[in-house]
Formats: sequence, C-alpha cells, structure tokens
Amino acid sequence: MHGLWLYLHFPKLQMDTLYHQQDLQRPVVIVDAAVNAVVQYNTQAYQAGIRKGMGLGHASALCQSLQVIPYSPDITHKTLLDVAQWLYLVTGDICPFQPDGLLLRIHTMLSLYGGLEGYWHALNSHLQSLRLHYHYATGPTPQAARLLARYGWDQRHQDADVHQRALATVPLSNTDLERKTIHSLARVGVKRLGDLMALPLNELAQRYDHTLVTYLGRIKGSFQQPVSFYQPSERFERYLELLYDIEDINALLVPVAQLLGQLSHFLKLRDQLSEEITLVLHHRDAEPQTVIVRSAVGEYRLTAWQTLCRLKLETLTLEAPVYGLTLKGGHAYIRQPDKQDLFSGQQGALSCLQLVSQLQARLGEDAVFQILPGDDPRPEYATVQHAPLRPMQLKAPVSDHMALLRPSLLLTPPKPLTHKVTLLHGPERIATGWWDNQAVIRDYFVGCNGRGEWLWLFRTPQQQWFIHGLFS
Amino acid sequence: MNMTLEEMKQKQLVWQARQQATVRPAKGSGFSGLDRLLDGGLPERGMIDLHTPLGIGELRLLLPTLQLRHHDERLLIFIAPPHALCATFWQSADIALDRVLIIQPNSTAERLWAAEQCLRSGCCHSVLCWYQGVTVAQSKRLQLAAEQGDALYIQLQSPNARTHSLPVPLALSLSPDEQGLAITLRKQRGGVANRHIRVNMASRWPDLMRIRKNTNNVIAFPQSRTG
Repeated sequence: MHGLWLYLHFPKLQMDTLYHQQDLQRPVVIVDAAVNAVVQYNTQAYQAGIRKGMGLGHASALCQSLQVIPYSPDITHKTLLDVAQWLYLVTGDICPFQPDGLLLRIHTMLSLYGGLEGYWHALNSHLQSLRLHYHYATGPTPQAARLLARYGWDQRHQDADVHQRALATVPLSNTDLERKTIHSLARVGVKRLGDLMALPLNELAQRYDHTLVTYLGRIKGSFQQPVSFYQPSERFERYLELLYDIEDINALLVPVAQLLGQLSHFLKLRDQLSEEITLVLHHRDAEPQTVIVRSAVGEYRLTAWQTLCRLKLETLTLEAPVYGLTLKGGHAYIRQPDKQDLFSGQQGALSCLQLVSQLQARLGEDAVFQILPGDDPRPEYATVQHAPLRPMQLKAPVSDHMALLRPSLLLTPPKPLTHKVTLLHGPERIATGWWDNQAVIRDYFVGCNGRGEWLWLFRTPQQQWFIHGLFS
Repeated sequence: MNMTLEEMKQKQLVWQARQQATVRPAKGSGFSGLDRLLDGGLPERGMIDLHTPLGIGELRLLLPTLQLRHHDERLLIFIAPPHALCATFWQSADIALDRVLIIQPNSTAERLWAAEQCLRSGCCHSVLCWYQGVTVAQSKRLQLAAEQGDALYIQLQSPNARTHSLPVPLALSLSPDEQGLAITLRKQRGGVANRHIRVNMASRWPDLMRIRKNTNNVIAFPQSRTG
C-alpha cells in the first residue's frame, strides 16, 4: 500500500491562541519585528485593509485603533506542540513541522476509522474544539501534502492522480524553492509545478543546483523525507497568553478554568488522578508568582480543581498585572476503584503490589523493603534486607533457633555502653565469622537499666561493653 | 426539616446503621490486665496513640495483637522504626515475614504520607509508625484512612512529646514497671479516662523480668528452655 500523508497548516497560530473575549471588536495584528512585517491578523484587521507582509507603518496608517503584538517563536512552538498533543488522542503518527505545521501519517490509521472520510470526520471534529484556523491537504508524500496545504488546497483524496493534477497547478512562487531559482525558471517559461515536473530530472540536475532536484524528488516520492514522530510528554504543562493584562483575581478565574478543563481532559483520558497542580502567573513587571494547589485526595474533575483554585487564589494578592498563565500538573497516578462493602462501608482496594509501587514512586526504591533471617550466626548479619513482595525463601524456623532470646530492635552499629545496667541473663557466647575477616568474639547478656529499658549487651575480649539491641 | 436532621447528625444525636461497623467488638490483647482496662482489648480498626519510652517492652505488649491480626492475609507495616528490626525475633514470634513491610522514608513529613497510603489501601491489617508530634488534623486524616482501609494504626511517640489531646479512639501511656508495664489509659472513646493498670508480662516473657519468683542462680541451658 502506498503512503498517504495529511498536512495541517496553521497560518494564525499565535493569533488563535490569544485568549479571546467574546466582545472583542478591535483589530489586532502580530508583527515580526525582525523583518518589520505583519505576519498574522484578525478579521477586524483584515476588514480594515491590512494584509500579510505589510510594514508596521503601513498597517497603523490604515487603522488607528490597531493593537500590535510582537511575534513570538516561543509561543508558536509551544502551541504547535500543544496541538500535536491534542491530536495525539485521535491519530498516531504526528510530526511537527516548525513553525506552523503538523504532518500526520494517515494510511496506518484508515482501517481504524473505516476509511478516509471517517478519519477526517474524527480528526476535524477533534480539532474544531481548539478553534484554530487551518488549511489541510492530503498527499502521497510528506512534501506534497505540505505544499498543497500551504497553498490552501483544503481537500482530501486517496487517489494519486488527483494529487498529481492538484500539484501541477501550484505556482512555483508557493514552493519552498529559492527566489533566485524561481526567477530563473520563470524566465524559461516554467511557472507552475506541473511544468517543472514534466522536465526530466537529470536534465534539471545539470542546469540547476542540487536543492531543486532534492525538493522535486521529495515531492514525487523518489527521495525519502526524514520525519521524526512526536512523543507526548507524561506531564501536563500548558501556557496561555492573555490578551489583556489582568489585575483582578475574579477575572483571572475564567482563563484558569480554561486551562483546568484541558488538565481535566488530560487526566481523564489517562484515567489518572493528580494531587497537586502548579499555576504560574507571569507578571508584566515582576518575577512570576507560583501558586501550588493541593488536593487531599487525587482529583481529575474540573469542578473540584476549580473550587480549590478559587479558594487558593482568593487568599492571594497579585504583585503586578498578569499577562500569561502556565498550568503544570503534578505527580499523577492511576485511579484506583474503591470497594464498597455493604457492612464495612467504603474500603480501599489496592493490591499489595500497587501499594508498594506507589510508595516506591514517591519515597525511592530503597525506602521500602522486607527482612528475612539469614544464615549467618553473627547477629548483625542475621537479618537480611529483601526487595518488597518478591518471592522469598523463608526457612521454617529451627526449633532450637526458636529458643534464642533475641531483641526486636537491633542497633546498627552497636553503641558503647555508658551507663549502669543490671545484668539478668548471660552470657551467650558468639565466636564466629572467621571466614571473612569480620570475626566476632562476644559474650551477650540481657540487662535492664535504671530507666526500665531492656537491653541486649555484649562484651568483647577487651572488656569493652556495647548495646546491641532493645527488647522493645 | 433537613437542616435540623443535619444538625442532629453533627451533634451525634442520631445513630445511623452505617456507623455500626465502627463499634465492632475487639479481640483480646493477650494480657488479661489490659483486656480488663479496655473492656476486651485493642480496637479492631482506627488509630491508637501510644506514648512510650523506647525499649521498655512496648512491642512485646502489642505482639499478641499483631500475631492475631497477622493471620488474615494482609500486610503488617512498620514505618520509620528507630532501629533495624531483627528478623529472628519476629520469626520466632510466628509473624510471617513475607507479609511484613518496612518503610524508611528520608524525611519525617513523608512518614505520615506513607502511613496514610498504607491505611487507605486496604491491604494492610496494621501499621506501626514512629512519629513525634502529630497534629489534630493529621490524626483525623489517619483515623479516617484507617477506617476506610479496615486497618489498625498504632502511632508510637516518646512520652515527653508535648501534644494536645488527639481525637483518637484510644490513647495509652506506657511506663516501665517491675512486673512488666504500667499502663495509663489517657482516653478511650465511650470509656472512662485516666485509669491506671499494671500488666504482668511474666507469663509471656519470663526471661525479661527484674524479679523472678523462684530465685535460683542456676541459669538454664538455652537450648533446653522452652518459651
């Protein structure tokens, strides 16, 4: 089966992600300061006569109430990845093309959605909820799909001939070729891609440079286009740029709710709960303010987080106007079903292994362990630590082993005895360990001190006394 | 109408059938003195606030209860014990070590988190945690978690810890005594507080007695002794 690719081109990515208010009637443009040109604009700006590529002076002359926002590659980059993460819910292979496009490998997805129409319906309705402007096109190769989408073809087909005909009509000025090459091609009468593709490749290679041949080869599919597919991150993190600086907490709750809705969706799809979220308020003239909202039980629902956020934010004083928000999800874990018992009420229903993995995830691998008796007769080696809940070989206790009086707690290392004790038992001589240079020769006693503590003591051949355990 | 019913519930004037589970009869603690003091033994679930110096026999007092509880196929958990546990002792006390878990968090704050997770999970029968200075809010959470997970939570603190009265079903203070332990019942839900009792441990721990009844200076050979 030949490949089929879909390219989504987002011409107004930064404009679309600005936080919209319903009654927004002012023309807004985004200007790339590096080239002094309008790169994105809203409907009102378009009606005022502003077009792409105009200088700032020209644009502001056309419209006096124009609001100008600088173009930010960072926001565009972040937004593109957010869109990729959102689309990942319906489609598998996504390759972000910086700065404003997403390439989807769709021939692997068609059987899941029952054909191209079903797939497109699912993808489109999913994409609609982001309220972005986009152009799209299918293509037999990544480069062909990209070219058609950027040209604004807005069609989907599985038929290779349709694609060939559509590609043939694309003017060369819409391609990624260098301006010099386009110009020299135009002078020999090659104005559309169809004209160029009709020429034999090896002839072109002799007359033009290598990039043209590579580009054409990638459109036709004779050369491979390297693509690296997107991997979603495990943590939730979104940034929202506000159109106006907000100084009032209550006004801030609306955009916060928008982010929380996305968080809630993120967690719900993964069947996860989060106990903590971090909200970063980016201030215009001050350091960003970080607000950590915690929930006593893991939570994913929007309403619950909204209530908690409102409570937290109401106690907060804003140091400066806020122009942007970042929401980060804290540690998330899989939701556990609760067991409801008629007589004993609601009960937890974690398996032991789930509990251990939860504990280890937070406390570290080594913080959770088990003990089992070892073979060594030396008391400090007689207890062996063991990884939790792995099968362990528990020997049946030897009967004379049973009779040994051992303390419940062992001091590691033994502590020198510094106070007076009354000895009540002993001695029990342990002289062993000759095989590994850690030989011990000790006489063990049971004693009790003035504070009523029951101690396990030993005496070395040098008549030094140590406390080794507590009969707790 | 509903408001008044809510108020009555808050004042605990209304008994509801689902509260029944919290007052299940307790099993014996293995020490007759303690059973008399507590009207039957340690509670089946919930939190016990135990003020005790280290090493006077506090774990030996709890041992019969833990042994009994360890018969159901759930875990026994020790959180942040002050010293290493000796496997020989627990094995000879018939505690199956494959269901004993020891948790040693790096920070003290994580001890209570771990305790709550264990209690809530429902796969532990008892959790013993060494922690100083638990607050009222924390103890309420732990009590709830213990009830939810049908577990017994025993919190061991040293007696000089200055804590106010906690809303726990049972609070005990232990101190050493010639016969074993002296126990003060500081608080019991539905019981009379500030009662004292001495628990004789001679029958279970004859070797760890300061005064022995038959004083003889011949020490029995360890292998031949039983018990």
